[in-house]
Amino acid sequence: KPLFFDLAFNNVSFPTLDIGK
Amino acid sequence: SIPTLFEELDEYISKSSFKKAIRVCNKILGIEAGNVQAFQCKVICLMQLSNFQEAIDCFKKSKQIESMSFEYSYCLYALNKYQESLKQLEKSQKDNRSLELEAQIHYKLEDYSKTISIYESLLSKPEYSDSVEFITNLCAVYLEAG
Ligand SMILES: [K+]
Repeated sequence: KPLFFDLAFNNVSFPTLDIGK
Repeated sequence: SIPTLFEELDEYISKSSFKKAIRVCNKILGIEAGNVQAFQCKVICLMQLSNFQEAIDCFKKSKQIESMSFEYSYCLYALNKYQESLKQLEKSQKDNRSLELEAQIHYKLEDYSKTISIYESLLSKPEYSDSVEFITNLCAVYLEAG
C-alpha cells in the first residue's frame, strides 16, 4: 500500500474561544 | 464562573490535555447546557482522543450537527461509516476540507477516479500545490489507479 496521509484530520480544529475578557 | 472556566479550558487545550479539557467543558455545560463553544470544544477533544463514537453520541444529543457538519462527517469516516459520511457531506458546504474528506473516503472505497477528479480540482489552489503531504496522497492514488 502506498503512503497516504489522513489530511482531513488536519482540518479538525478548535473554535477560537471567547473567554469573556 | 464561566469566564474562569473558559480560561482553564483554553490552558488545557493549549497543553493538549484533552481529558482535563473535557472535564472543564462538562462543568461549563452543567452551568449552561446550551453553551455552543463548550460543546464544540468537547467534541473536538473527543476527536483528538480518537473517541469518535462518543463524539457522534454527543452530536446526536445536541442540535449542533449542522454547524459542525465537517466534524460530524469526519467522525463517521473514522468509524468506517463511509456511505453515511458521504451522505452527510452531500448535505454540507463544498468547502476545501469537505472536498478533501470526500476524496479521502473515495480512496478508502478504492474509487480512485473520483479521488483523482477531486484532487486534481484542489491542485490548482496554491495551498495544495505547495503541500508535500497532498502531493504524496495524489501519487498514492495515481499508483493505485495504475
Ligand atoms: K462543511
